[in-house]
Amino acid sequence: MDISPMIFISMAMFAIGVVGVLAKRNALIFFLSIELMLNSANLLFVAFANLWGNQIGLVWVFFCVGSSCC
Amino acid sequence: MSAANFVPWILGAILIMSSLGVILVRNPVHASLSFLLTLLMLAALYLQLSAQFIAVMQVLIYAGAILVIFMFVIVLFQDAHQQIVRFPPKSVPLLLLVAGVSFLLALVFLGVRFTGFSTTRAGLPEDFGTAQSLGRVLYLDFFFPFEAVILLFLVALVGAFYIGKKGS
Repeated sequence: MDISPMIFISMAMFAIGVVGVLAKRNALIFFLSIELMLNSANLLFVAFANLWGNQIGLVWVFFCVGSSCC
Repeated sequence: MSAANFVPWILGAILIMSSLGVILVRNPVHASLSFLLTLLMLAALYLQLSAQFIAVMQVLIYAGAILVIFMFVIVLFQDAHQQIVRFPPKSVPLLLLVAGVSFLLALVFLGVRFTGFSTTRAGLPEDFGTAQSLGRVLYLDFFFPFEAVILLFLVALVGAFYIGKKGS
């Protein structure tokens, strides 16, 4: 699986999250935008874990989801 | 093979449109539902990258727990958050400028900083993305960060109790 679409998708998602945080009309939208940015980082972690064939990226996704849960 | 190459682009198009929906839709409930679609597409992308456990975890934790908490907050504080947390609107061209600049910065950063990384594909191990192999890495190599996450949850729990007690 080629990971270049994942990198593009992740960047676009992060930019959308940044705009959502800056354009906050509403505290809920603000938090959802932060979650969008975290999820774009997670996507990049999984993509590079897939590229390099190790599990460490997946473990960092686990930690990222855990801390965003809090 | 060519059909398989289109799948991430299609999923990504739906993902980007639904995440645009999160920030453009006025109603918070609709924004949450749009975020749900984003999460499901993200789980599908994880499945494409053969990370099965992460995909299932994504659906269970994000769609099952975090989004339900968001819904609870919307339902419980329906009139409160209308009055308290209203931010003044900002100008649209400025926001578009910020979006473009951050996207370009990401591109430049990717081009400048990450030119030296290896793009040769290491073969996936046999058990990539399964719960067993992930658990082995998590408990053997990343044990202390895992304990730190447990401590973080404990602090969040105590904080939630404290805030709840103070309110009543």
